[in-house]
Amino acid sequence: MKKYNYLILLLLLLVSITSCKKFLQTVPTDFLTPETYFNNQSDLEAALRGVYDRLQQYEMYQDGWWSRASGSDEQYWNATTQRTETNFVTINDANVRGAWTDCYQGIERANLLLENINKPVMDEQARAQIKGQALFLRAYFYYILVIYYGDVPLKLASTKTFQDTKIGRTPIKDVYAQILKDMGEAQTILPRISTLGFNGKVSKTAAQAILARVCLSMAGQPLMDLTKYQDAENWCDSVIFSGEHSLAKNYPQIFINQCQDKYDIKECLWEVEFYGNGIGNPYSESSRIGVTSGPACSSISYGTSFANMRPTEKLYRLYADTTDFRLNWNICPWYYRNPANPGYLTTGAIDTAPKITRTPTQIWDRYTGKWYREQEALTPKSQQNSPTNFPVIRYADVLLMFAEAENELNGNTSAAIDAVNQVRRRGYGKLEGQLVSTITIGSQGTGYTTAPTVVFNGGGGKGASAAATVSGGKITVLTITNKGYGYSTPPTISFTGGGGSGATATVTLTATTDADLSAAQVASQSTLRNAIRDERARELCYEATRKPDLIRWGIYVQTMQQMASDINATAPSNYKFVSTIAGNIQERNKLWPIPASEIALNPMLTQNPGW
Amino acid sequence: MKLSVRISRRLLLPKKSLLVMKLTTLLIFIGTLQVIAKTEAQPVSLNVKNMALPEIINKIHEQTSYLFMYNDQVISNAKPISVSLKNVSIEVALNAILKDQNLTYQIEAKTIFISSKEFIEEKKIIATEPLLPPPLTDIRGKVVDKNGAAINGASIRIKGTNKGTVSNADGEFYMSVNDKNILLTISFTGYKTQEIKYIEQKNLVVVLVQELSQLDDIVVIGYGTSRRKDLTGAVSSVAVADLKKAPVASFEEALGGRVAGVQVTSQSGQPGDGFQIAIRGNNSITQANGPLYVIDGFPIEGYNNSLINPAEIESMDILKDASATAIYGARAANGVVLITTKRGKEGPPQVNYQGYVGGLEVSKKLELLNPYEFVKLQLDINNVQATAQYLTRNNRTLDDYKSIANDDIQDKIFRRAIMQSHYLNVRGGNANTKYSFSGNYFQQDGVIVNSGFKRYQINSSIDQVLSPKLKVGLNLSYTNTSSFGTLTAANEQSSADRGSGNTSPTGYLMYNILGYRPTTGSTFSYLDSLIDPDISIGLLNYSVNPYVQVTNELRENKNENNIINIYTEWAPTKFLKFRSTFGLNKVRNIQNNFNNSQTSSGNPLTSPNGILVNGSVLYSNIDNWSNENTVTYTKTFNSNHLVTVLAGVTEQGGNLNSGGFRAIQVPNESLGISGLDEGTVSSITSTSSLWTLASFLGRINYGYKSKYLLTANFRADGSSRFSNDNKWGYFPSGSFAWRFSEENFFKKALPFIKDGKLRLGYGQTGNNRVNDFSYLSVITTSAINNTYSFNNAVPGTSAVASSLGNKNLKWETTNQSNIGIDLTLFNGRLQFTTDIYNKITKDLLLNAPVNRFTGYFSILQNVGSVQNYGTEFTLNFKFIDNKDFKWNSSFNISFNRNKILTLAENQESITFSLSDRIAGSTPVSIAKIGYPIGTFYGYKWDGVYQYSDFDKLINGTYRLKSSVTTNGNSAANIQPGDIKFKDLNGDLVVNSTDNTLIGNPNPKHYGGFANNFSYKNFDLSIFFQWSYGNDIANVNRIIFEGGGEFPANLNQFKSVANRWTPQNPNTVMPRFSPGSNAIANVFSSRTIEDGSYLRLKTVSLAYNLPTKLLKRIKLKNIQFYTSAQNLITWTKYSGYDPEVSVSSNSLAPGIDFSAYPRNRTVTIGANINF
Repeated sequence: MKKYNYLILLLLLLVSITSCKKFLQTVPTDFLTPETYFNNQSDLEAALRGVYDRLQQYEMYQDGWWSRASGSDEQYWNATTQRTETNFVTINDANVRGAWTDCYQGIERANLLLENINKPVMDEQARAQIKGQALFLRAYFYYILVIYYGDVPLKLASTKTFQDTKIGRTPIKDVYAQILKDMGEAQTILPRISTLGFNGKVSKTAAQAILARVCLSMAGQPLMDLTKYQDAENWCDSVIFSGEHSLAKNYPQIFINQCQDKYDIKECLWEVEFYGNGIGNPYSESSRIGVTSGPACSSISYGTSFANMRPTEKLYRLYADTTDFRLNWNICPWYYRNPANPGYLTTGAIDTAPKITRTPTQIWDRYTGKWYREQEALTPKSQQNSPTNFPVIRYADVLLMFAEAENELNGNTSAAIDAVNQVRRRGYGKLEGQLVSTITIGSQGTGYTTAPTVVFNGGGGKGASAAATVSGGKITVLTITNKGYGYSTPPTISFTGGGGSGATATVTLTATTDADLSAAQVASQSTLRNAIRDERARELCYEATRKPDLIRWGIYVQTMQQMASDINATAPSNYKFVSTIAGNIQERNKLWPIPASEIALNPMLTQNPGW
Repeated sequence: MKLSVRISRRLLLPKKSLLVMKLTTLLIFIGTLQVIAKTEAQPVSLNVKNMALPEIINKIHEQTSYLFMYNDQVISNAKPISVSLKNVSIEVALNAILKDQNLTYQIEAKTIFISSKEFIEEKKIIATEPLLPPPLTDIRGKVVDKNGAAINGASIRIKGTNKGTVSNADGEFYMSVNDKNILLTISFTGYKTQEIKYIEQKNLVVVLVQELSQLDDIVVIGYGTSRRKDLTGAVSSVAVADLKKAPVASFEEALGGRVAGVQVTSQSGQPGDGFQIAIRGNNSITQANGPLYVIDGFPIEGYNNSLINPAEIESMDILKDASATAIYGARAANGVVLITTKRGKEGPPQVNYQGYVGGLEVSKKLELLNPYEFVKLQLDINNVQATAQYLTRNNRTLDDYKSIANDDIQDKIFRRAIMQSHYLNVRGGNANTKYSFSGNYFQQDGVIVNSGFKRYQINSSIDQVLSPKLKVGLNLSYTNTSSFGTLTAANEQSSADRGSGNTSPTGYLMYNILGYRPTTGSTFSYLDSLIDPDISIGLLNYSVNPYVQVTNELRENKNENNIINIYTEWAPTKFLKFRSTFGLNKVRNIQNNFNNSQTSSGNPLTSPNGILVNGSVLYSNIDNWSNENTVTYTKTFNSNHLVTVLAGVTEQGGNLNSGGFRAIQVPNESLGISGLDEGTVSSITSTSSLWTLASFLGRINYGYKSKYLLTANFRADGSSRFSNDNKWGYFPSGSFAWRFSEENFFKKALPFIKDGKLRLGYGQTGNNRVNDFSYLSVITTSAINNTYSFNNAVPGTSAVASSLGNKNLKWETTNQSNIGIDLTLFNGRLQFTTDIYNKITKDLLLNAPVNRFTGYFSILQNVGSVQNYGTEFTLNFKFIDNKDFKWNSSFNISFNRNKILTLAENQESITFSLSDRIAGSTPVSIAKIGYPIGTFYGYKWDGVYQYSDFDKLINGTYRLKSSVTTNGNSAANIQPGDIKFKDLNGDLVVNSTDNTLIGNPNPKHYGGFANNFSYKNFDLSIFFQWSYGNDIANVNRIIFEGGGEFPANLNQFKSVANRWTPQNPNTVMPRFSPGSNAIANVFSSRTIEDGSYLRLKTVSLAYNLPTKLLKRIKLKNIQFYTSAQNLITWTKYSGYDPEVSVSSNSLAPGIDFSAYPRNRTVTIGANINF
């Protein structure tokens, strides 16, 4: 009996040993692994959303990409303390590391998706489209990396083990080659934008336009591969002749649309989409456009803005006159009157307060414009976030890139000049019609005791206004106070009030070509080059193109230092600090440092010069 | 003779343990006496070869009616015997057996006394009576313990003779003596020997009092117990009785300083806050370093110790070295804490009540600027704005503020709080059934308003003997705790859906308290409104009134803990014991958070993203179970060789599920948590996980004459947490102990050493503290995070790889060697233990940062190694041990050195950054090869720039000399009075390359000193704890001494009043200027402080009611006492308290930022036994 007991125990022991293997084989209950995922089209689509998602990160298009990373002569971060935003960058800079991380996370997600792209059984056309997006996005992240960090590790397979971290930097030439290869393949399989119907996804022409941008970068510093001008022009041609795109007629409307989540797929080839503003839904990755930028505002109903980004005087001066509509749209000509306690958030007080126009001399006091939170359609508005989409590339950019490439290849040809002029004409409102150019008094009339009201009738446009000066019962002078816009024919003028009668006047409209580049500007390849560069600033300011542009043109450091000395010389004393922000730019700032933490982990990574 | 029969049956059973009796020192040298008896005399027949004397004695005893009495040690030296006898008389047999031995015998009243020849000779000299006259009288009596329970097997001897007997199971004894005038010596193992003058008494009752001799103490070790003298490993028993004198919620609060080698650190003084216990230093750089807790035999990782009432603890033993811990294998690398809770005891029901009430208050308030100093500072920072705000608005001058009341909000937030504890225990039982039931209510209010901790607990245990071979037992425990109150050391706002990059120190409660301005500069009072209207709102949320905030926030953390343990013990023979246990631990946690409109998160003016009134409910359920089956074989061979073999199989498993949701824009805030369903759901979480562990374990103990002791352990652990190739880990250990005091030469040379033992041990233990599925890569799918909206549609589901698995992951292994010496000196008055150890942990489970170009931040790897080496000393001293006055002291001191030997390939260091805007993203702590984990890292502070560092320009401004280093700002922006750092690399620029090691958070030594005095009915206990040589990073000072990014209207520490100004240049406190603050906002040696302290931690004074009075009121015992905790602390540290470490990350110890202030507690209580 005793022995029997022992036997039972021994058996129990054996049973537990044999069942051990199974016992220790646990299966996770609340997550999937790469091996168990990617089984159908919707899995691939979910993975693709993950790749796109990195574009929305704080350091990327949510905020950082057009604010702290922009560091150029068009705008500055309004702070006297030294920080990334004021171009005070260190090798430990959190934003520099953040952008690096975001891009590489996007790349890793794309790598994993591309490795599994053929795993599910699914519609081949849908598969190709997903593949095209992933290929393009991976290349686009590399493009951001290569222009901001120079040589970077080129990783085209997903990380599988710790050993995969042991790679060094790839020369920019090779990184660019991979970018061209991937984007080149992507543009063959991506859908047309008219098929998509919106621009939050990358389309064929969007990829082509970005390819043009990449080629221009390659043609400029530091790579200086001049053969790429032709490629750039070819890609621009592909977009221009695709029939998919044209300039929007009204410049402000482009950005109002973005504030209101409306798509203009003719003008905007690719936008980073932001969903909602964080209120009433759990999505946290909404934009900060208009919160970090825009006119300072403490009203919740207008949309709060911290107005951290401010335009430089230099940008203001780039606009020739106020008939360039882009000036007063991009640089806000007014400010909200603040209540007694500045900064105190309120739900009501400011709503009744008017906007107060700045005087012509208050250039430095102005705020950035372009995206105005009061235009947002989504309510209630958030104090921290906006739903505004960010335009990565617009058709105007394509035209200007074409002009630039054409000018570099063939000089100041009419094709180049015409492309610039198309953009200028839209900026001056010419695509919608003409402005009032002059008013000629026909009959001075009689009996006017006071100045009559000048009434513009017809002509298809609106907004024109003029003031009459009366002397001796006659109208002696008519002063245009607003040139209006959108006139297809000259409006007629009538006078009301003033006690007199009989005065007449005729209007002449501007000509379309009034907005065009001047003869001096188009005189030579080099004058046209400068004109194109300025035009890009006027048209594309705050759209995260200026700094890379200045760098590839090889004029970044001198431009910034020049601005610093100009500010020291001419800016009002309370804005002199901006000279530090410009003056912080040295030769080394053409590239960001490789994050110190990355180098610390990997001796194969070298640091950029000067850091 | 009936009585004798009963004795003999019981006495025969075990060979040793039951029969050990202490005889007087006169009789024999301290040792044990064995008695064997039988009723009727028989002739003896023996035919044995090389048989040990005890076995022969057994045989003779079986054949005859003689009772044997002898001392174990005396006969342990006997030679093996070979005799052949047939039907001879007892005398002939004894003569034959003891012929060649140094032994002799005497037969008296059917009892045979065997003793050494020397002894008899000695005795003959002392007592010359040749033979005892015939019996004259009978002695009858009873031996009981102080509770009246019978003592079975006590030895009763007539002093000066060899005559004696033992008590039976009822404690009764009978003896016939030949003299009325005798002294009786009554002794029993573990009890004080008593001498009683026998005067003809019919019923003599002898009460024996327990004697606490450490050597015979039973120490709980893994899967068994051991006598302290037989231990070979480093095991510390906690003086639980002393621990219980501290009026605290959980035992860890009182544990610090009590045990050598055990360092207890707490995050802060928050009620219910976590404690970190590090046994012999931290092994792991990124993973948990807490010990494994084994509660009543049930191993629990990451146990929440506030779940157990200190009064419920019967014993606590801490296993420190590998030979002691290796039996717990893969989870033992950080040491093991074995806790045994109260169980039933044989005897009549005992009812015990322990209760106390008391009060607590903050032990310190920090000195802040008063209104005058504050306004003066504001005028320095921004003269225009401050003049408008503080002077012209109310027609005041700066001097007016000297007489304006100081609205120090610390006074409003901190309060005198109440704590109370009530504990009732009933236990008792008989030989077959034992029971214990208890209940506990504990409640402590926090010293910050709207914070506190509560606990209800019910425990019960039953042990039942089913048959002489079979025993079962059950343990049931239910605990309900709730802690509530804003966590001061957590960023409330970063957790409230703020966007990344928006984290700010303003999200911390203590920041808001310390920074709250002491005056409004106007007649209006904002003390009762949430928002200070003068301060711009936005991300800089220090306009929020922390008092309103904290009284309106609901932060509730509720726990329910159920423990069910059952065991069966089956002992088929006297050598063999099977034990099988099954345990279940169910933990249910609920966290409720609610922010109404009077909180910054819920107020429309401050609520980011219009979250408005919001709240969340998070629950988690953890079920852990374990089944352990062990068999123990114990046998003594040849009476000298004690062998214990343990083998076992265990299986454990656990699963966790948690979930919850957060709702925003809740319309009816008055409904609180219940109204969340009316709001908008902003996030939902749901997770689950599971793990299993299977183990084989074995241990062999071999002891030769309790002189040479060997232990070998082995455990194989298989864990589901590793991939198939790496599931199993093997953990061997071995140790040897030599009780050199048992050697004769030693006894002669150093007779004052009563006991001495040398211990040597070496072994491997493991650590498997990784997440359940760390070896797998994870695809996270979500419809909220990492997703993207196309065509303005609601974002669809996203799938991203969120962490990279590592199939090669395996156990972290710690190799530990230990040398220890235990000494008992001067008749047991002094006990001394020292251990020297060296631990090397390799294959660290390191969440090693990887290049972010991999798409990941870190990968869990087995890389790197860490060394901990050190030494520990414990001294227990009985200074005075009189009847009326007693004074015991115990002292312990530990030295541990921690050093990182290697890290991941090419890795020199791992850094830790505070995620908030304090000191930006620059690292504050570093794990660097060759240095301790968590060394502070930053700039060397060099005072402030003085005029001599500058050239005065013609326009009257100052320009830094080109030969003087900058401080991170450009030279043009540096002005006299700005903070200055040392330029270490000589490039005249202070940048990240000038960071260096600036402090060590690890103490050079730490320990405790306890004194217990008792005078008549009074007991006084005084306990000091100290830590010496550790640094603290006082991060509060970075912000509140001018380093904050936005100092306008933010109050500062008093020290700022002495800041640099042109009028006050002889100071090291930097000037205030918006441009220079960002530079002061870095981590430097300026805010590293010496954290050494000596604390009068626990004082307790008790009065025991006199016995006479007790008899009258029919109670067994009443004790009234008063005790105090954290009474006085001597330290140079300027923060609230030097015992602080707000980050639970092993990599970042000793950081003080927004910590809950520690409190001082005074209680009065009573301890009543009914």
